[in-house]
Amino acid sequence: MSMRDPVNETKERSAERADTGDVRVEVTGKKRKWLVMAIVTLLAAGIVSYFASPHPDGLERVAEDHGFLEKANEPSWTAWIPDYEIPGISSPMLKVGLAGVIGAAILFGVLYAISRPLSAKPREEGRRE
Amino acid sequence: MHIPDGFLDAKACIATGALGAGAIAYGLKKTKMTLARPEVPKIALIGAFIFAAQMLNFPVSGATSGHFLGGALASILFGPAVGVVIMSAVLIVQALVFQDGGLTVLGANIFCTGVIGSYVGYGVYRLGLTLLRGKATKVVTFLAAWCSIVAASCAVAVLLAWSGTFPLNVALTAMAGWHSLIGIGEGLVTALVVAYLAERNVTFDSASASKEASAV
Repeated sequence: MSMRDPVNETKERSAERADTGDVRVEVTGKKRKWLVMAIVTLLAAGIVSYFASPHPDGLERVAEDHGFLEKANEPSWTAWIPDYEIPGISSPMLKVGLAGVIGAAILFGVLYAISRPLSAKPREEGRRE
Repeated sequence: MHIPDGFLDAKACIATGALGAGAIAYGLKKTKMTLARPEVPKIALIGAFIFAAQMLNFPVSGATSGHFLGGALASILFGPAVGVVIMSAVLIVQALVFQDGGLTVLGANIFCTGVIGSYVGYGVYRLGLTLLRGKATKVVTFLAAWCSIVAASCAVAVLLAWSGTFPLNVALTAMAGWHSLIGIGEGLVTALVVAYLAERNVTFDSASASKEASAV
């Protein structure tokens, strides 16, 4: 049990999960598929987002139909990128697309920063110290 | 389905704030017990994907749109505890950076779309796989995602009614009605992405998985 690589570590972790009764898919480790996911994410956030439907969503529709949409308070503060449009950019496509890419990048960074310290360290790494 | 400030009263905000905070704490604790390092970039990328997909409102019917939520996707891929962590991160960034969803109702949004969305999606998925012995996984995934959206919308309806906005039966009918349509989009995207990223199907047999591990 001295030298354990990340792959075996993952296997052990999934065995632990099986013992606790968790049933789930085995998520692929293929780099190409994750690269495709990254590209799809960037295209969706950066380009397709501009073509999103401007109509109210399900909750807004219900609020409008039942007369409580006006209960929504105007925010008392201004966020950095309100309504997914970067202030000060004139091109409508660019201000939405850039907002989307920035948001996706923030999410990647935040989740990486949160989950990395929570993850099991492959043993060899600690050993090299 | 982001609740804005003003829709819920103080008691609903406080109750869901406590529930949301508790769920995040539990999600982080459970994540720490089960997370392997190679999963870290995958979790981060799925969070980014969910954020991007949530921007893409699609027309539903009349002058109404819907968008992807992602609780079922995150929890089917990584388990419901990680699902709650991913969804909470998305909702917190949306509220703080993009002013989408109110601050006093952040707990309510985390509770409805994060916690209920993740656990109902995961629960239906697991139930479906067990009942069908791992067959028709795409159909099961679609149904799991559809149920997660409808369940989340019912939770929002209950909170609205509890806050005295409108009667419960009216709230439930209206919210579940629209979101049973929006859930079709959720189901299609979730089934597509899960089918693409699933290496092989579920490991049912915990005994063989344990043997594999002890052989290492």
